[in-house]
Amino acid sequence: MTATDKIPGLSMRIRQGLSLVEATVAAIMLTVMVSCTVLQVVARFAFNTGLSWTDEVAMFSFIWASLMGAALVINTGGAHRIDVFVRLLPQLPRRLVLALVYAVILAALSLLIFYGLKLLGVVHFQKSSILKINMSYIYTALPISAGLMLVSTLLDWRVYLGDDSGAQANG
Amino acid sequence: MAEVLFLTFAACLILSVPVVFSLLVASIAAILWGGALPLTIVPHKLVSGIDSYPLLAIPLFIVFGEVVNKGGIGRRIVDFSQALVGSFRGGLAHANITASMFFGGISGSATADSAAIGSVLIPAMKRGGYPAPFSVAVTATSSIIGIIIPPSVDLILYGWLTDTPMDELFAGGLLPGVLIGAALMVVAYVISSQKGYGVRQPFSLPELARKTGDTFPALMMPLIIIGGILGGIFTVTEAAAAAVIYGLLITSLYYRELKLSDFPALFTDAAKTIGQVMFLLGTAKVFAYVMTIEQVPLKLSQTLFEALPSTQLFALNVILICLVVGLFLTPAIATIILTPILFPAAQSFGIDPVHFGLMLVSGLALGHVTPPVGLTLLLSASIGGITVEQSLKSLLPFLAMLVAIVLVIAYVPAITLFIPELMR
Repeated sequence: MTATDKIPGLSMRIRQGLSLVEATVAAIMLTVMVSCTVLQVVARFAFNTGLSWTDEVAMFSFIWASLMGAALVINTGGAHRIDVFVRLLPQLPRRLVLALVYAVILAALSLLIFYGLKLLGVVHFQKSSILKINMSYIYTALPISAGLMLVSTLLDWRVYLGDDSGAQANG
Repeated sequence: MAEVLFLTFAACLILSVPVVFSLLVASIAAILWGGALPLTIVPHKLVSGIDSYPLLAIPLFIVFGEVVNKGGIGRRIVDFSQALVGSFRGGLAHANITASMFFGGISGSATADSAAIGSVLIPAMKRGGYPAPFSVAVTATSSIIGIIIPPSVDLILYGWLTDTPMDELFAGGLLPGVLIGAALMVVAYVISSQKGYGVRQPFSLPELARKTGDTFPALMMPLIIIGGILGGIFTVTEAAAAAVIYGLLITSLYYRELKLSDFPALFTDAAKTIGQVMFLLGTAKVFAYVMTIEQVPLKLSQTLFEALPSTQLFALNVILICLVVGLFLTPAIATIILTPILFPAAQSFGIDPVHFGLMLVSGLALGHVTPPVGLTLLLSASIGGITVEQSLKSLLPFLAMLVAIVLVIAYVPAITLFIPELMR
């Protein structure tokens, strides 16, 4: 009993820790993005000059913010799914379907991490057009985001494999 | 390969795999089946799908929406709308719809509209003698104006996917949005008169003047955004950035409602919305890439062009597809998935890209109020303290009117194109 009681507590803490990291990184990136675009508009209207580096920094922080935000969505159970059909199934087939769904999600995330890392080796040789930033710094966001999603999904195992799975599949 | 793509996608969706993963799994399955492409194309298209400057307007408008939301702008817009139209029969219902139109000119999302206006007006309407289901129906249906009147995240997504100028799309959304509002007010007026809902408040000019004064800085927001874009002063992204500055200034310094302690929640909520839309857009780009390699949109457009004898019939089919898809997918998700599939067909039928955008987005917007996943309906019902089932009977006349107006928008291009043509 005590062993099974401890696991949800631990997984809850891991989940909260992940949320905090994802939200913090996303918030910092959003702040940078907003500041850069605001600076860009002020520069154009007040000083009549265009800045080029602000666009690039805004874009990079936007990509990071998006992918961290996406991990946060998966972690907080906000991914949109159509569960009206699965709810119609009797318990046994529903549990089988949910186990299959779980395997499919884990496989997709694993492939995304593997090929996302493989891609880094390719984009490593590319530099951004204005600031000459190594493009792998931008593309790193994807395997990291997918890795965070994988951890959250692993923590979600009860939703897919637990005794009452399917009753609360919609987060 | 195309068969594998669509069958896997459909199977995943039906079995309750989240939409983003359904898109990914279908693309991966099709690529593996075809055997010609490396799988590194998946992460590459996913990130490069987000990496586009025009899309920057979306996170900016979402941040601005959160600033407005947490800065108490919704309540002020409601107060002002009440002073403006509260004296008509069914006054609070009209105030609700009017507030949605003003709020539509500020925020780019329908759910933000429901939350901001519903949380103030649904309790007020219940206190004022309007039944909860009626109040919920008015809020849920009028909220969809939020994605028709500019700014609109859905229209930006459509514009980016089809290379349609975003300023023209925004201009195109103005009259359809106002038309939807006016039509809903007619329904609210007829029902309120028949059933004797609400108490008529006398119209008071001093009251209206006072509320106008208090709300004036908030009412400037639509003017800055819409006026700035239509007047050619701002690009859509610049308007979004300007809106963020202006919004931060008036909510924190003038109204003093947005506090430093609100910012963590503000950024977390914004990050979630941005993450949801952008990750979906990235995965949809992978899906669309596989589809384009197989020339699916092209073949589909030829098939439809040969099968359907007229543009009118094609438009009717688009609306029907929107209604069915809208039952299961939210408008933003459906816009991202359907646009690459249907746009080439719309072009071969000779439909103006701006007109088709409004046809598609307003058709899909109905998905916000149709169960089981109508988000504004779910949100409004939960604010009203009733179940979705309890609201359905009151919802029906409003929904019927919305369907009629969507058909009008589809069949009378001039409503959409009048303002954009002034700009061309």
